[in-house]
Amino acid sequence: MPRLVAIFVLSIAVIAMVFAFRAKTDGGQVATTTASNAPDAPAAATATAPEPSDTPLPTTQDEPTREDCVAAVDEARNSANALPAEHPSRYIAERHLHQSMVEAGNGEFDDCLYWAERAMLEVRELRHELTPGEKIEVLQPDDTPAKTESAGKTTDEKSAHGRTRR
Amino acid sequence: MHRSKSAFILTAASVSLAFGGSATATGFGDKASNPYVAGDMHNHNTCTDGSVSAGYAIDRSVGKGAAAAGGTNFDLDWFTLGNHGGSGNRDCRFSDTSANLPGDTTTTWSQTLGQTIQGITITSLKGDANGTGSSAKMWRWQSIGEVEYPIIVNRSAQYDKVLVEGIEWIVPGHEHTDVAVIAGQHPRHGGNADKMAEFEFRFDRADTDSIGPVDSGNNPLWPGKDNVNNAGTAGHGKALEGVKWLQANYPLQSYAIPTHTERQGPFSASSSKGYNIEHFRDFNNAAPTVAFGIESPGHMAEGGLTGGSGSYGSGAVGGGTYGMVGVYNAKVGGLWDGLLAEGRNFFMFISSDWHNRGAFGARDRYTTSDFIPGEYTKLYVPRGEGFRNQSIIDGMRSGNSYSVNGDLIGPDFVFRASAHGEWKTMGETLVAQPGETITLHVELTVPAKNNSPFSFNNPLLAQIGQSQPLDKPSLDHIDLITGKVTGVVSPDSPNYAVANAAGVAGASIVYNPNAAIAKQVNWQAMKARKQHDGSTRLSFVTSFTMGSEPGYIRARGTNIPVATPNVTDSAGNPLLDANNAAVSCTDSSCPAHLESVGGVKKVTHDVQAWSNLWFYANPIFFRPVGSPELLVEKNAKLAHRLAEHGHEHEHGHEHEHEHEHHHSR
Repeated sequence: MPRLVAIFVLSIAVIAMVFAFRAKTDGGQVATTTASNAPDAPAAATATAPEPSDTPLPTTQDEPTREDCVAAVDEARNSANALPAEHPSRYIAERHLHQSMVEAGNGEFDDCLYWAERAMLEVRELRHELTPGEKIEVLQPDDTPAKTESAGKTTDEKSAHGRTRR
Repeated sequence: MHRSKSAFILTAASVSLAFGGSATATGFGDKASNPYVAGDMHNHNTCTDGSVSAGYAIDRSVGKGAAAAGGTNFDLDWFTLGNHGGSGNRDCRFSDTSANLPGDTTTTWSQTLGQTIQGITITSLKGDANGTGSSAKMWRWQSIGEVEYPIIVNRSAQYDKVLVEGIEWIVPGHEHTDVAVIAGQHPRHGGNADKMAEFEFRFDRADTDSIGPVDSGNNPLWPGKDNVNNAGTAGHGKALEGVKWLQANYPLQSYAIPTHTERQGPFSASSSKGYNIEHFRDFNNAAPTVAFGIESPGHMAEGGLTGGSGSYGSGAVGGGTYGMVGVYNAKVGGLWDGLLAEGRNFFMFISSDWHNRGAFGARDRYTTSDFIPGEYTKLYVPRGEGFRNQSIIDGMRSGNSYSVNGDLIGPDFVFRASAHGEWKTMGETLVAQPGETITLHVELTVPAKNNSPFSFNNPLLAQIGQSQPLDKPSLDHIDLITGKVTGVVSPDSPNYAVANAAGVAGASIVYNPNAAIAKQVNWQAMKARKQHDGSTRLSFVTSFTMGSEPGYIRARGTNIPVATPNVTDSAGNPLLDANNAAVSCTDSSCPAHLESVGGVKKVTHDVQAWSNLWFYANPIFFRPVGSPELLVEKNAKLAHRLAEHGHEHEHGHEHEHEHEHHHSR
């Protein structure tokens, strides 16, 4: 088995769980759910993600403070935590929030807010969706890079074809 | 944005393509003989908000082959470490845990004081106390001198590359500006970055330390700091003092290049936001050999369903990036053209702004955020004789440079103009008789391959029936953009300050109504020669008639044809990049990390960046014989005079500077 480790795999059941989660969301208030709530109906695998809203990416506010930053991160983290642990949008949101706190550590509170708000967008709109068996593969510290990756093929795996331009 | 066939100097009647003759070039493809060298001046590490250690960032950027722990090194010729000012709580000899590097975890200064790591011992955090425990921060003036610069010294010995200690200045009254002060930096012989650190201490608005380094009697070595005027109009005044300080002390050994200048929206008189055209004018007026340009944003892989490439939100001037470039530079007739219309020495640069790979670790091939320096963006400056850190600044200041995304073109670009046998290139001014024929000569190499991890066909081109693998760059056309030079706008003029606007409204502002795409040259109209390494050498020669007024011509090129839906308009101008996400990525190899709608992946993140490639070349100026010199000429002469008076080189003083480290408490 390749040593690339899939940090999460979105199973059919998890997809269903997401929609269960969304069904429990009311008026923008995030309700918590757990894996045990999730029906394992395979039909959900064909369900579509919600259309992205027209919500533009965030713009920073005047002179944000550390308190603004912490409040935004807490809010986004609570929302992310309400997603199933394996949901890709939760993972993406957590990475955004990590960067938020890095920015805060550098005193860049505008950037902190930017990443916190991107995390909220990710959680609210579930912008990442995986088909069954699909993985976002991320090398973990104890992994040795392999020559091939399954999410998108390398040039070695897939020859260029139909190249009609220079 | 508009395209015109009747620009003032490149008239339809005078243009003719002449293939042949001048296309020959020798030595191209051999890296050692390339006329330009590739670098990056804006990137981050864990001293501030980056994800990897300072050493790791350098290793990946300038090393060759594969990195020891995995990942590709990108073999840049030069590298300027351009980390934020301010402070940081992480020990940047270590990478952040989020980078997923073997054996490397987030480490704070509180954990390592007194230890010797990588030959560097930090015994105390100097200056004003700044946080406690794991939040205890080191002021950047200290980490510049005591951590980053020693690592640059170590790496300079390890690699045959030119390494510089710079910063991304957190500017009073504004957002950010790339700065380097190379005085004292002689990493092959030791040296120090004290002058870089002093600038950061004195003028960075995030560095509020009131003490700085002290002598053996605890007397501050850098007294007189303004720690008050850090925002709004007063902040801009402090920023001006900063660039004046550079001009007065290091007129040829420093640069100050505002970066991602649209991101925070227009300038605010009461806080610290973006830049309007009057602020660039102020900088260039105050520091004519130091503040000579503008940097377009990095963060090219951040784009999602509603934008975000360049780390630009909806409040940015322009509402986002255009072909991965900010609207100030991307718009024909925009802010950059407004400055060029004054004849200013104001040039364009692009760097990576590398922080992290978003969802991925540092060794992964994919990114949802930034590219490692050299992976995607290259800033080319002339190689020159005995290439060294001074050569980087000299090259940038001269304007003889160009910036490339996705290796759309290589290191052997030729963009020059001739009249009566005299050739001038980017940043220079050609003086010719009105009515005289000007020959414009363009040559470039389209490399056989770039660093894209994707070999499936470009989805932005697939929608128009073109098949082009993402890892094989292609050039569709070059725009030759011309504009009149109408003279320097005086600070007293009502036109000196121009109202600016956040969001897409900012893209409507025209600063130079005479700028236009005077000619568009498709690759099929160029002479093509396949080279032994699989690359393609393209060339063309065109001519135009010198007009009676001064002007300039600049070039940009792209892989995207005119009127490609959701990417370019009917004139070939880049559209707002958020539109790219309307295009689906349907190849079975489209990666899992793309944002999707209804289960359909969209052209976002790194796939977007690799799909939408542009390069930008700096302008060549023209003026009629007998007309007054342009500001770009005057400032080039000023730089020359300063060099003659010894401001450029510390002749024979390298070793004297080796042990100039200050005593500090």
